[in-house]
Amino acid sequence: MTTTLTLSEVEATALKAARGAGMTWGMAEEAAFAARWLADLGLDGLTLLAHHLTRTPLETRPTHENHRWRAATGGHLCPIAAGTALSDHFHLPEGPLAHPVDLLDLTAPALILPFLAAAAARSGTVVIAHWHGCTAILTPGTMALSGRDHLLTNHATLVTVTAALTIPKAQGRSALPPMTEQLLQTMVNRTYVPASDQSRRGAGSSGTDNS
Amino acid sequence: MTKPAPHPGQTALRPPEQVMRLARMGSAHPTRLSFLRALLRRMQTQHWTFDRPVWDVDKSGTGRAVYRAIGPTHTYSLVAFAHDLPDHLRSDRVIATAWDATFALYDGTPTPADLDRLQANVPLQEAGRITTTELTLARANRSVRLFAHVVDRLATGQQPDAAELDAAGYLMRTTAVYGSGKFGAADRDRLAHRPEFRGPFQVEMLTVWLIRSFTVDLVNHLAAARGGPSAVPLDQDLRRRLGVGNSTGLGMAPFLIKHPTLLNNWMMAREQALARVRALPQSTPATAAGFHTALQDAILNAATWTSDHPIQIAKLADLRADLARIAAQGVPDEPYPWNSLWLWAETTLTVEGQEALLAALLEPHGPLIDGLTDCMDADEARAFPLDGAAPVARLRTDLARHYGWATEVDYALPENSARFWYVSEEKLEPRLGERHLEPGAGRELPIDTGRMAAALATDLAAWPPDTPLAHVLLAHPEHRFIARRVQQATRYPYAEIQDNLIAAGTLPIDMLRCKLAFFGASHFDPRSDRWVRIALFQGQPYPQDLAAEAPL
Repeated sequence: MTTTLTLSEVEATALKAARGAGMTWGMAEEAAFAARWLADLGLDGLTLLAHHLTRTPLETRPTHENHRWRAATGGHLCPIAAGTALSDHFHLPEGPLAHPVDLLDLTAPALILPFLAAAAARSGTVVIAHWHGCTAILTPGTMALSGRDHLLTNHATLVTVTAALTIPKAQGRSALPPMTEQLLQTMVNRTYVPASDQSRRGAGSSGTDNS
Repeated sequence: MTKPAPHPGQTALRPPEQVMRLARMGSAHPTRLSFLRALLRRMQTQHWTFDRPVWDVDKSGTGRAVYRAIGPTHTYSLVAFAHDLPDHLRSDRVIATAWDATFALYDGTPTPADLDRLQANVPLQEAGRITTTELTLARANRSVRLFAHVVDRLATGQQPDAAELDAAGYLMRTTAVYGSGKFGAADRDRLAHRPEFRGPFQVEMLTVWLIRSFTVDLVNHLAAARGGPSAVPLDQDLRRRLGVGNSTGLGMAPFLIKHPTLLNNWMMAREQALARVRALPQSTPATAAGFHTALQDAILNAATWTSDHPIQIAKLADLRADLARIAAQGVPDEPYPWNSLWLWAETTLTVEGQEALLAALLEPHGPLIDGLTDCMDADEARAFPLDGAAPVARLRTDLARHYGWATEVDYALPENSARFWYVSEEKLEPRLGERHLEPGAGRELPIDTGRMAAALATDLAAWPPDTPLAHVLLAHPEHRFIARRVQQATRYPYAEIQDNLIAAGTLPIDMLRCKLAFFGASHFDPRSDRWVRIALFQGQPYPQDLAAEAPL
């Protein structure tokens, strides 16, 4: 029989299960955060996490070289470790804001999305995660998704994560180089007609307006 | 030009290294910022109304009842199930499977179908399942001797003995009040936008307050059933002396560790309130009189507050002596009188007396401080993310500033790591183990905050100061838990209890008392160093009294 869990129950279950599976307490808290975040969108992150946690050994330490992240001892990359690593390194040269990042051989890739969403919200950026058949676009407060059928896959050979800064509004002003202004003025002038005496006479009062 | 004298208008908050010590937290008293007081004030100000649309209880005391609290935008209903529990099944432990009464707080007015659904689940408590229309799940047991005494007396047309009422303090005590998404109940997120539930534990407090009405109605009902026309209802004044009891064990202690930003915001609000009062240039006749009344109430409360526990007996002696000293001292006739009184207390009174004075100082200053209750909830999700770009040097500075109490301890000494906190497999309740005598420390709960901070400090020493924290955590995922807390401590200075919680001499009841004082609990009565009985709402109005009551 299917049980419907509250978000608190999802979080508490994930925390204890992740710890029981061998994660450190700090990492188990991250797993709980991720499971709850997905559950809040109606996505079953807990089942994904359960599949991941039953893998042995549970390798939680990622390593990276040339913007490619993999499990330190080979094998599968843990999505909780990968998600927290991307979040921790977000603004650093190894992070996705400086250069697109590849995650190799990642289990349960959807579990990295909560970390990317939180990073996007914190930094006002857009983060795009892509794996076979699925693209997730995370902006502060929203997630857009294509390829829902592949979202909850248990494994992806390659996940690419790209982050991009959003451009803030320029407070109603736009800087213009002098060259541009001259260039444009030539064309603007072609919308004007030289004035004739006839047209000047009919355009308004010819005396003073001090009446 | 004369230089203005420094004055307490700039009174600083008491520092965390003073406030966040267990000995002081374990001397906390309820204040007007306590959660049950905030609830009653809100309902009074907003003119909530109350009724009891269902009372379907038989002569044996079995049946169901509904109590409604009707606010400006929402109605909440306590659904109560009364049971006829044989004495041998009555247990306050979390392991119990039957109770004298079970309850759920329903979001709205329940239909008969809702009541039937709840009747199939609520009496089972953890073994049942409630839904998102329920906000809490609770149960209570009778205070057997007092309950019988009250029913016996009322049935024969007499009022119960006031001394007996004061000695017990309640007709029933709750043994659990579950909220926040437990056992299927609505998640806190769903309610957070409702103003009445912005503060901490407001649904739980509402549940307990309505349970209090149920306990009085039940004794009146049973007395009438037994005594017929000669029975009388419980006298209004006697009734007011009764609260709802609560039996609480170790389960409550890890909460304070698990919710650091929440703890910070409770403490910060209280300390801000004290600082505001100390900064007042003078008292007024009204605030002086209010302080005097609060002090007399505290003296009366201390007089009827009994305990058989040696620690509490000593603390009560301190409290009574200190309250007498405060009364003798009076309100100083000088500028900044409250600050003068406070400074006098800090050099004269025990910690117990100082914290009692804090509560009395806040009491007459509602308009100045009550708004602080709006700052006592916490956006924990916002505080959660780590700053991985922070350099090791900053972490070291933060450790030195906020965890000096932790890094100076030698955890290799057996007495400094004597205990470990764990969840018991058989009962699923938090317990304390002896590390050097019992197995299981490998499954320890992360309550050893001091030891973790010291371990982080040791490992950080090997890293260049400009290394980002992200690099350290990649190599040391085991430090993630405490690194997060160290970073939080800079923004939430009152988040961490500044004591070694695994030391041999640690008293878990100190943590319980701090939390229960924020609830508004009076008559803290430890039964050992790790469990306690208290009463909630003692001396407070009942729903039907609220409108006519002076502003709370």
